[in-house]
Amino acid sequence: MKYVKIYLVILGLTGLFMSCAPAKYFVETEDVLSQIDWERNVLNYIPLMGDDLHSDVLYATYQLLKSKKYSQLNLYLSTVQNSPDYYPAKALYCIAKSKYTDALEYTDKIKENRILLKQLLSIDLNYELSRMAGEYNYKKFLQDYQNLTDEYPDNDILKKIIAVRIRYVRYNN
Amino acid sequence: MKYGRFTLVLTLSLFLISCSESKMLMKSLRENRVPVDYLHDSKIADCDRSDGIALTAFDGHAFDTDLSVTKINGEVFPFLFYNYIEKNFAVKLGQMSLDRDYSDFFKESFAIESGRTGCYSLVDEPAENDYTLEIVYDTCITVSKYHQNTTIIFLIFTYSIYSQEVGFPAQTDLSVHVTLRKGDEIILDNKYFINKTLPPIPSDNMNINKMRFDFVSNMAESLSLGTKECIEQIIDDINSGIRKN
Repeated sequence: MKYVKIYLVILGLTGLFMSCAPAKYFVETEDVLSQIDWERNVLNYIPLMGDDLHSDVLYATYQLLKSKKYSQLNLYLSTVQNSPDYYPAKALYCIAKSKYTDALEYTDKIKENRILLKQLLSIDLNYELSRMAGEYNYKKFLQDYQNLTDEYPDNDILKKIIAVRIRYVRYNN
Repeated sequence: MKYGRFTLVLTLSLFLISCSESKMLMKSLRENRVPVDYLHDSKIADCDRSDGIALTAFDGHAFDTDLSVTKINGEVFPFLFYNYIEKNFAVKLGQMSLDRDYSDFFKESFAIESGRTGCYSLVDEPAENDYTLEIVYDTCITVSKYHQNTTIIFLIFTYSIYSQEVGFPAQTDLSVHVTLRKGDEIILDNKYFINKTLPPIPSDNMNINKMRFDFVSNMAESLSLGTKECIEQIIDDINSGIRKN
């Protein structure tokens, strides 16, 4: 009985440790992203650009993710399921919780008004899932990110974000 | 005489150990095949592409065939309860560590970038009015430093060993000679010197194999970005040369 208790304590501590695993993707606004020192940056950012932050749901999601209030965010999202921005918000929540399969499902349902976010998340999540499945293909993801860059030639922040993504893909196979 | 032999044996042993250390590290680093590629982030130029350019000569043989490791220096502090061993190696990237031929990578990247920002069209065979381009690599080196240290602490009935390996920033030096001709007339005759230093990505991964993979990847990334810079400069100058002509 004593050993079972010790085992359960170790299991609990491991779970606690795993839940504190650092996030891989950080949601950030255009204003903050424009001030980042990209030469030194190694973090993967998910940008909220244009009118993304005019959406109450996305703004609240951004604030709650920033303060790492995940359960509060989950509760909040359950109250806004009819909002057109429910899917991108839920996808961001799932990414923060490293639930990539669920995140991809929600990403696929994102409407055309958040197309850039949808396209970027779709590549990111497909990469994470293929890596987990051991089907890593660097060239494919480099090409996907290249296509996305070419689709938005005037978006300099996106180019910088994608340059970091390519480093991330290069080193995390 | 007795001490002479002892010194000789000790020196030979240290020499052999020193060589095997470099070889072991070299063998381990050579096991990694890393991608050489980069993101083309230039804006696609909207310009006249009626002029044709044929790449008639390309010599990229300045790049080494195999990755090599040479020991730079080392320090040993052998105390009674505390031992510290430090080794520093110079590592030079070679073709065999890349997942594709460097010359093919350069030519492909040059063609892609020409299609994006070049105010000309790349052709296979030059027509009478077309330009011819020769690209010769004088230098193509990517080097870095690799540091290993081991701390051994002896306690009364036990001991503790702590090892650490650190990769330093990769440095790429490229020196490329480019000649653009139209018939016999030389339009452009420039040398490009690129020096690209890229710090390794910070990692808290303690897995030695992963650390070594990241180290070689960092060198390949430095080479990729150095090549990118070089190609962009060459295309800029070709555009100016054609415009002036």
